[in-house]
Amino acid sequence: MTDIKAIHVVHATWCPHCHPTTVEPIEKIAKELGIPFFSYDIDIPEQATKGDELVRKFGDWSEDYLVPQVFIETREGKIQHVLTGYSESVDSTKRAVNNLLKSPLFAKVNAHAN
Amino acid sequence: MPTDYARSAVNGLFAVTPTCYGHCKEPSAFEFKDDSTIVQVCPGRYVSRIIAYGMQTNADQFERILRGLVQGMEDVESTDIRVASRYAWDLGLDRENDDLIVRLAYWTQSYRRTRNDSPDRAALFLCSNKDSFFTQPVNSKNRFCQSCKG
Repeated sequence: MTDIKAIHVVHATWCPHCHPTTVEPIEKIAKELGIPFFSYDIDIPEQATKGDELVRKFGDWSEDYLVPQVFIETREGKIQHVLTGYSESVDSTKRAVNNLLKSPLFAKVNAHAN
Repeated sequence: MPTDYARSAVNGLFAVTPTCYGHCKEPSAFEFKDDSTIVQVCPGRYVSRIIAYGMQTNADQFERILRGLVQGMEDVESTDIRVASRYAWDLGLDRENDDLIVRLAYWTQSYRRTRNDSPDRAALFLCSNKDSFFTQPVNSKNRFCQSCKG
């Protein structure tokens, strides 16, 4: 597993799958681990441009794509899409975020931080 | 075609009770229509969502499938389709060497571009008897298509 250098989240302020379900817990763990956290609000043009670029290149792109989408940037400079919100229910998205944060992807970062 | 593993993951993923969207807000269910299509329907048989799944599922492919399913009863455009990848880590599965488990494509009735809150709008329903779609006024209580009703 590679080390995480930064976390990027594409989100919308009105989206319950994003707030408080995804952005806040991801930002919290990034802060705890000392990893830079970047968020891109799809309704703020300059942030949306970067968010669109991330989703188009690495994520689940469609014209009116789903949010949130979470990406990790590795120390090797690779960007990896790791999560898209679960349209079926906010609870499903919440469970997926919890799973992600407990997964081996983050376990190694946790180990480094401890 | 989805793998057995993807099918198993999808079974778990859709074993939830979402609220009907755009109709009654009653608890609804995900029904497997065929080997790669799921329909979210409420007790009144209103269709909130149609979802495709598989390892190669993508928006263009799903748009074609969706147009075939709804047979012109719904206005479907590429902008109405949204896709999602599900990985081992967000599904809570312990599979280090097989990260992508399944890809999903979603279509939601009366959402964003096609949003229509009129109580008289024609809406898509799934027949209780057959696995066929039909349209009727959104407030109609009828749960059967024309051929099953007759």
